[in-house]
Amino acid sequence: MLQNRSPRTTAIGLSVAVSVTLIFLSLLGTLAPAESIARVPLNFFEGIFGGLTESVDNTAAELAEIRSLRQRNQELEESLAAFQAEVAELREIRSDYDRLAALVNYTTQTRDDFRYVTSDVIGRDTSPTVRVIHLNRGTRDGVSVDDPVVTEQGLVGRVIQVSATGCEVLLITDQSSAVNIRLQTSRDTGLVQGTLSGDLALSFVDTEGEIVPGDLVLTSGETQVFPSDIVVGQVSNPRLSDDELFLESSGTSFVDFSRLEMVLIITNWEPVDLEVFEQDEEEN
Amino acid sequence: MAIYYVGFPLLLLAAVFDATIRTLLRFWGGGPNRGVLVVVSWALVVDLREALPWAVMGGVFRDLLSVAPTGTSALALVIIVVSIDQLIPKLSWRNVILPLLSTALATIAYDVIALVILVIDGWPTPGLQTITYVIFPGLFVNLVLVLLVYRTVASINQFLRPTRASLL
Repeated sequence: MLQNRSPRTTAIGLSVAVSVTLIFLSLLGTLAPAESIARVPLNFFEGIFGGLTESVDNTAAELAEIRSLRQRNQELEESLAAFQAEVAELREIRSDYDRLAALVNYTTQTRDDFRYVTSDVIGRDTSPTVRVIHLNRGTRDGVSVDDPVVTEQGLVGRVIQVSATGCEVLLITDQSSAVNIRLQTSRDTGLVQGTLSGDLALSFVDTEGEIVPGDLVLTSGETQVFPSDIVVGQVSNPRLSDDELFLESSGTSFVDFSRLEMVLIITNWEPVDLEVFEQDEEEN
Repeated sequence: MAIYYVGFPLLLLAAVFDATIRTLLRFWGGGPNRGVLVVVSWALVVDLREALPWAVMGGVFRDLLSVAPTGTSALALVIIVVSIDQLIPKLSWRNVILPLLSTALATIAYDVIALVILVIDGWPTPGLQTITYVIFPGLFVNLVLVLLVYRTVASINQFLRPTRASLL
């Protein structure tokens, strides 16, 4: 009995020691290079199975949606006609804007200046409480940490880890994500945070401001984490916060995060370095 | 040694499936944790000393596809495997109920341990929402899948170590 117990205890002790050591080294960042190398083959397998999942998911979704497509097509054609008129009007405004901006020598980084890298979503984080996606683009493609990630429907998140061939993106629906925003109509600013349910929570809007249900939420560009004027979502159900100091609201992104297949990484976003000002304040 | 050659690709596939095919099997926001399913099933059919390397290996693969520090899932799975080893002799009904009960306890234990380490790493505490959106849905999907995984793992073990025939 004693002979049996000793190797068992050793095995348990060794397994716990290995696990705890790995956790400490990983928390300290010592394992980062090894983790980055080990992720390369895993990203390769993720790419293969991610593609298969996408095909199966698409087929199932298309079969389910085929009935409603005809009606949807009709609605879209009507919307298109209305939008074409609006686009013509907006083009006029854009040309006025360009002319006036040139007159006052006002320059800013616009969407046309951004360099996009298209990437497939190859997987999702295995931790159920974390909303992170894996992409098949890495440092080899010019991707770096903090690069914003978008789709044509709006903001997706930002890059938090990069390997040579892949990267991890923290979604705006993750609880640790916070985006400085501006409401399109009222121009009030606030903060959008993720929730575990996958919805967005809008908060810290001044009580003297206004949240109009259905209003568009755009990135404000404050704190320079994201470029300004990227669509984040739409607000609903505005209310006063529990402490009655701010207005808050629920929000919904136009991006279907559960069906994300392809995204765009902005690889040349250069935020203004605000740390210089923080250091000055500390010195004073 | 064949056990380890089988375990390596099986656990690697389980981790990759969790990061990819997981999205197809979601229920109320939660998905299956195949790492837990494979390791629990393996721990039910083999000796502790054979189950522990699978727990460490499966955990590391899983953590490499996660923002959690490497070793988080390994530690959680080692604790689960040791707990199962301690509980099995006390349970006389080694049948369908045993994998279900083990999986239920293992899923909850895994989520709690992983959550604690994520909080230490600086990720926010989700609070009660975790139960509604993560633990219960994940538990349900794991319970639906465990018998299939258990039978598969038991068959692999039987294939690798066929029982010797004996003459009466």
